[in-house]
Amino acid sequence: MADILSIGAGATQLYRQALSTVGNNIANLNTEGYSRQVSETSENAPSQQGTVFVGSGARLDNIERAYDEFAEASLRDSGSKLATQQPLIDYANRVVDIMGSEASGLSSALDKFFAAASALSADPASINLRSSFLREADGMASRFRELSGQLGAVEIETRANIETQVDKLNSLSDKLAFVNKQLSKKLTLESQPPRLLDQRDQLLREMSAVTKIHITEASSGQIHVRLGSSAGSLIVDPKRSYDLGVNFDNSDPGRVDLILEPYGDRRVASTVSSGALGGLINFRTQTLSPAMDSFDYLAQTIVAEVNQIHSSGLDGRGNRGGDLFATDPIFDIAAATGNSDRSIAVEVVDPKAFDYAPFRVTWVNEQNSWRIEDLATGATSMAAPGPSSFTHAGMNISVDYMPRDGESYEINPISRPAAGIHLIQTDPLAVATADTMRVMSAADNLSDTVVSLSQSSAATVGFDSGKSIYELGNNPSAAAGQSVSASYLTPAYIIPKGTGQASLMMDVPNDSDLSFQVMTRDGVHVLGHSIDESTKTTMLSGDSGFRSDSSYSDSYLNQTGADAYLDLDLTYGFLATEVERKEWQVDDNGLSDAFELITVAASASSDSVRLQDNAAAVAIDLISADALVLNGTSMGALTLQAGGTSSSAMMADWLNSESDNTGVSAMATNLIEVDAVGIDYTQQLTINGTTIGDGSLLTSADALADAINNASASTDVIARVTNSGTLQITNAAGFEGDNITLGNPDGLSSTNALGQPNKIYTGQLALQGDEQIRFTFGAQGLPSDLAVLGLRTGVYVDSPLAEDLAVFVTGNGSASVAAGFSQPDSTVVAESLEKAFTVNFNSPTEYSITDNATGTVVATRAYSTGEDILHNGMLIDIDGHPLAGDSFVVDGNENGIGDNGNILRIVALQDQELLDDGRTLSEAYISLVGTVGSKAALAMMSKEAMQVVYDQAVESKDQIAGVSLDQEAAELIRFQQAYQASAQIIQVASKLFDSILNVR
Amino acid sequence: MKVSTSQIFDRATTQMSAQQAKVSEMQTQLATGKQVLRPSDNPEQAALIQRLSTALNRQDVYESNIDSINSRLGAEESALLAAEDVMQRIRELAVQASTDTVSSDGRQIIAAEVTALRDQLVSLANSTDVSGNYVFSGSMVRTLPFSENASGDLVYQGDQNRMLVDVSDQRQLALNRPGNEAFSSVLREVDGVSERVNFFTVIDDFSAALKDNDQTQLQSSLAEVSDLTQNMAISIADVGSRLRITESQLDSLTETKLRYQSLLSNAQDLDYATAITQLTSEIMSLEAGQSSFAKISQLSLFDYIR
Repeated sequence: MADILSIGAGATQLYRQALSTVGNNIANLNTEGYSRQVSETSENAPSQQGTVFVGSGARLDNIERAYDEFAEASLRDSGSKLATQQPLIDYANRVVDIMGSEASGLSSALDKFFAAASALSADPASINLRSSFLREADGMASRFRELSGQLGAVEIETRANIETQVDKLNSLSDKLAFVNKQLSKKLTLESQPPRLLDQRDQLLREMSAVTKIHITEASSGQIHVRLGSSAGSLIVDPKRSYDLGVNFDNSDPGRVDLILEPYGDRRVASTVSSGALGGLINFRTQTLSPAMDSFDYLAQTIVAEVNQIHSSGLDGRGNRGGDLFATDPIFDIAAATGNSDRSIAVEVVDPKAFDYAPFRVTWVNEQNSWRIEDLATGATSMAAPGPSSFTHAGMNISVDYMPRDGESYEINPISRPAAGIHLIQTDPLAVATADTMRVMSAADNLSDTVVSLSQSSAATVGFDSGKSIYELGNNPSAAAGQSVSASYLTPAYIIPKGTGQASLMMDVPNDSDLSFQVMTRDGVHVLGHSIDESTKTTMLSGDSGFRSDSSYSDSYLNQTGADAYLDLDLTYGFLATEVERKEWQVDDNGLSDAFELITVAASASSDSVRLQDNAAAVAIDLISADALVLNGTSMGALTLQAGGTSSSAMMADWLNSESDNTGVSAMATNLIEVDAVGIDYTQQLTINGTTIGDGSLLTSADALADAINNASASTDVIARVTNSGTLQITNAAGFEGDNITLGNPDGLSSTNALGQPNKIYTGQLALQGDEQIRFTFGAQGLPSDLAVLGLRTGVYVDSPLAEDLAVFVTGNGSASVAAGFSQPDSTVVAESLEKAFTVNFNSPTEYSITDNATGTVVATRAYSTGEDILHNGMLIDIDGHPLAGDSFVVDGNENGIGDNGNILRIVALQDQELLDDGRTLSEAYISLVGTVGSKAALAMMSKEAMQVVYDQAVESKDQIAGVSLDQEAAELIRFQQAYQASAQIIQVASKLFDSILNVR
Repeated sequence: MKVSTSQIFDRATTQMSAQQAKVSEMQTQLATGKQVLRPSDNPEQAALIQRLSTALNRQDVYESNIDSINSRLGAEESALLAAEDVMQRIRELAVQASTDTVSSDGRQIIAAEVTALRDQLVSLANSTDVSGNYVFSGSMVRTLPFSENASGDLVYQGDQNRMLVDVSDQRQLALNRPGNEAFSSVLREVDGVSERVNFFTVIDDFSAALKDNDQTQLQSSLAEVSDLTQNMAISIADVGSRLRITESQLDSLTETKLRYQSLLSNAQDLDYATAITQLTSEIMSLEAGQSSFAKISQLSLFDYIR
């Protein structure tokens, strides 16, 4: 009976527990994260009575939560994937709505800008239309800025959102670490309180909504959490949680770096790709950053294109138009900690000097000035003294307070053209609507030919063959010369347009007929020697790039001053000019800033002159009469008497004989220099036939010099040793310029004590002029004549030309050529496009082009009806049949206020494929918006798909862990009935007991 | 399969709110008459709309350009027509003066009239359009096209630029005819050599010949004046043809505009019939959801346990 009673009592207790579990389930129907609990019962151990086992009732084993690890994992996984898409959709849609709207998008602003330009083209003289064009240009610029600002706002918002998500993850990690600690109290998962586990799972679900996490569970139910995958950064372990931080790059919104323990050792965290955080980062890298970049590129392109056109036209006052738009950089200014609570402002004042290099400024009290440190190169400099505003690299940095010592700012200029674009022209008359040039037919033309002018879009054609002189290197010295074979067929060198101070120097062998010929593409022979008909044809072949319809002209060959080609300063021969030099003043403190400008007269020194014997019985001409012209004076013949030998002394005499006319005086010298190391102490020496020394070997340079000087009475040669140890041998006074013969008394060796070959050494010439020393050639002169005097022949182009020049090396054999030049000057080429010129028809089939400023005929070409005339980038379209005597003048369009040539080019921009991928401006913008839109659409589709997966995961988890009221109601009845039955057991036991008691 | 109680409620509310969002979206579409409320709803469609409205704006620009050209050409045409009348009169006078029957005095009277007519021609050649631009000075619209030079001759001072203006995507039309072509010159043989003589010199020479009673010169002046009259007719034909082109261009622009407008309307305007039908069906489905939820939520086992 006791058994029955205890069975009954145990059962009632059990079912009361079971009922309260059901009750708890019902009570927690709406509790977030609650898992349905089930009471687990088991049979009590039976008692053995004799041979039988009698059951002893049931007991409550455990209250377990309904839980499925896999359902939970798939719920977390799908949850983080679903959360990934939402920020993409939200923000991408916002970008699309801002940029794609008709009212606030760029398309309408572009339309209006081009519409205003088109309207202006119909009446360029109208101030109203000019103003409205400027207004729409300003409208377009401000639309760029607004949209860029809106994109910037999205950037800032996503930045804040990322920070919020990271904070949320950190706080969830903290809570999870706390739960982990609680879980450490029990050893097995089964013994853990269900509520704690529910809490843990709920935290994990919330974390996976922020980002995808990887979980490992210990047997006690404690959790390790990693970012992303098993290889990701650990953020929670059973001991503690690790904080995450985030770093943004101001110049690149696509760059977001996660950092572990931002206030600790700042380790780089692994990347996250899903969850709300991953979605936000994805949005920035894959959508926002490319969109901002494309938008900036668009702004940059439109500014560059419009400015280029606008600044090449003429405005309402007949002046060159300037830039229409400018783009200012955005400055990211980071104040260092410890600064006073003030700030500085930076703006660009000189766009040309500005270069986007990041720098740091630090106030240095001691020097009362800001120190500027270039962060890229590390170079430092000091600003002008004083705490107020200062300038650096084209920027003005304004400071309106007294900084503390050591206070510093890091300034990072960021190129965001779309944010910095603004209109800089405000004057309606400054809108450049007109073309720079116009063409007019002369009033007295006999034909009624109508001409029109357009700027040629064709690239300027150059020569097909010939090396650019840049390839020779900028070193005109003889040692740098490169060998080139003479050829009439193709030019040897090209002097590219814009090259200033160009010179080509040629070394020629004795008596050679090598020479330079310089020609323009139109066959104008500028420098060189007269050539015969057949040679002309050979040289001017179209294959080399000469215009085949141009005819040869030697009108400007070697001319100077007003007769020269385009009045340019061109020389063929030898040229030395006076130079101006700054003489720096020295005061007590050393070199000062003051200088005196002094003019140094032209001077030149030659190499060793040519050595020539005259074995004949009659005098010969070393240089024929009139072969050379010095400063405009034709020189007589340089004759060598029968039996004589040439020397620099005789050449100096020859040059000095004309000094009165040429203004050039010559001094003969003869200097042989021997390096100390070059002296050969094992050899002897004779000078001019006299043996030096007493026949014994000499052992030092000084001894050698002494010995030479001892013999100078018979040799007429003296020697000295310079401070640097060089042995110099030269003529004794009164014998300057005489040849010096070196020899070896042994008569066998080819060299001597000086280490020099045994031979006659001729002297050099030192020329002294006034303004210039200018050798040119007479009709018969050749570079080999100049070479007699030890001078190299050169082509000198002093001022830059706007066209390429072809340089031929003609004659027989090969010459050594070196070049010197200054950097090409593009402004010369640009300015040349505005040069006025006249086309004169000499006959209906031939015209010549004359430069108006200089009267130079730059080309004479054949003409056939219907042909266009191209010169200087201008294309003249001829409608009609020009007659002999007709002329057409191409001149500046200064007073053509009604001309619309330039504004039409701006209008045409709207249809040009300006962007790299061949899109027009508005197409590029629309496709930019389309790209963002399609990203959003894609995210929307993924989201819908993920929603289904997630719903299924929720459903399957709910199937196991969810509470259903109907199920609980059934359970309630089941347990209630079981409870009632158990109570009956107790009653039965009681009755049984009573029965026993009643036994009498 | 077990469905938990909270899930029944969750699902019902999610579905109903989704349905409600659809209805409200449709309602906004109906209220605004637009298919695409926000570009993000349908980025492709929004891009199409932008393209079409850009194209349509472009046609408006062409239209206003044609208006400007028309007003300018109108000024040119009326000046030339008036000038032609004057030339006709001068030619009549030249014919009259070249006959032998006119006396020297008669020629003086004719000369007086020719001088007056010449002054009228000068003012016509120097006429301006509504914006104050000289019609016949090429691009130098603020420079008096015909005025006396330093040596006192009335010569052309403008340039020979022809301003072209866009009137369609493919077509440009000249805004002006330079004055030296409108008031053209003639070739004259002097001692066997040809030379170019400008418009007003011809008339001045005619008037001088009248005053000097120079018969030979009168004969050649008659020929020259006839030439000028002829050329004037050509200039009128030129401006007339340009005016006609603007007219036909305007017609084709109107057609193009209509086409773009209908395309744009297709792209952005709402089809009310479809939209209303759709709205009705959406509302029905919302109502069905609501009423079924009301019924389902009533179901509970607890109601039957007594």
